[in-house]
Amino acid sequence: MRTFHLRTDSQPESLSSARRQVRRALAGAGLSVEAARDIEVAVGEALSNTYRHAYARGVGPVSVDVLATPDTLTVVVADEGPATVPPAIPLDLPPRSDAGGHGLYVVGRLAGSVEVGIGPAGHGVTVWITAQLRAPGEPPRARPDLETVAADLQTSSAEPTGPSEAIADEAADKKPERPED
Amino acid sequence: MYERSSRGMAAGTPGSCAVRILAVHTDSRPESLGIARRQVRDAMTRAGLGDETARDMEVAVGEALSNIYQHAYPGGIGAVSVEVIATATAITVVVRDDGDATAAPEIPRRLPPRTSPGGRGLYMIGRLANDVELRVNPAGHGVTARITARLKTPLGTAWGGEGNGPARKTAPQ
Repeated sequence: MRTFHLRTDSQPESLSSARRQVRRALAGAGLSVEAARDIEVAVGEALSNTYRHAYARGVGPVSVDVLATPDTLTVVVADEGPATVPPAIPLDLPPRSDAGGHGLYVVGRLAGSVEVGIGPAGHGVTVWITAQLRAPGEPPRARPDLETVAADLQTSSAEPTGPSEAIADEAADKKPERPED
Repeated sequence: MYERSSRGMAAGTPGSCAVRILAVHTDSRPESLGIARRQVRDAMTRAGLGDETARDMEVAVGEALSNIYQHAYPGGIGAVSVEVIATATAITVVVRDDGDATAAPEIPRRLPPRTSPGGRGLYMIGRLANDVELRVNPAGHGVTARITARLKTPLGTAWGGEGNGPARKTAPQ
C-alpha cells in the first residue's frame, strides 16, 4: 500500500524538503526510533545521488514513494536520468580513488535491504530501501558498527559534496534524539 | 556513480558486467526469511527475468533459506545475507549464513528418501537452478550458496547494452 507519494526535482533544497517529508511519513509507521533514523539517512543518500549523478548536476524530476506492507516499509527513490544500467551496490567501502559508490554503500549498511533497478521508461535509476518492521519484544538484529562506517567514510571521502553535506548537517542537528546503540 | 559503476562492474567479474542489484541483511527467523524471499523474487522480476525462471529460482532460494532456518543455527537466530547479482547472461542469488558448519553440504544427485534427515531441499535446488555452488565462508564457518539461472534472453538487451532496451514493468507502485 502506498502511504506517501512525492514528485519533486533534484535541486538540493527540494531534496532536503523531500527528506523531511519522508521523515514525517515514517513517523508512526511502526519502525523503532533508530530504524526510522537509519532509513532517513539512507534515503538522504539516495536523494543525494540523484543530485550528484542522475542529471550531471542539472535538474530533473525525482519521485519518492513510501510503500507499506504488514511486515515491511519500503522507500522508493526514482530519477529519470539517462542511466540504462543500475549502479552496483558495493558490499565494501569503495576505495578513496573511486569517487562513486559511497552513498549506496551507506544505504546498504543502514537499511535492512537495498535494491537498485532501472525505471519503467528503460532509463533512470530506482532505489528501493526496505526496513523490516519488528514486532514488539523481539530481539534487535545484529547491526553493522555504524561508528566504524562513519569513520571510514570520513577518512576516505575527501571530495566536498553538495546536498549531502546539508543533509548530513541536518542529521547531526538531530543526533541527540538517537539513543546510543 | 551511475556512470562510474559501469566501469566498476566491468572490473568486477571478468568477461561480464556484474551488478549487485539487491543486498539484504536479515536474520534466520521464518518471517524474516519470507520477506527476503519475496524481495529476491521482486528484484529478479524487476530485472527482467522471465516468469518461469523467476518462479524456479524463487523456489530454489526458498529452499536455501529454509535450510538456514532448519540447520544453520540450531536452537537460535542468526544473521543471514541475501544478494542478487545480475550479469548480461545470468542471475545469481547468493545466500549466506554465519552458522557453525565447517563443511559445505553435498548436493544429492537423487531425491533422498523421506527417512533421510535432510538433503531434499538441496536436491530441489539442484534441479531448479542451472548452477549451484556451496562453500564454507572464508571465515571458516557458515555456508554460502550461489544459485544461478542462466538466461536464454540476455538481460543485457534490456539493460541498455546499446541504450534502447524495452520498457520494463518496474514502476514503483
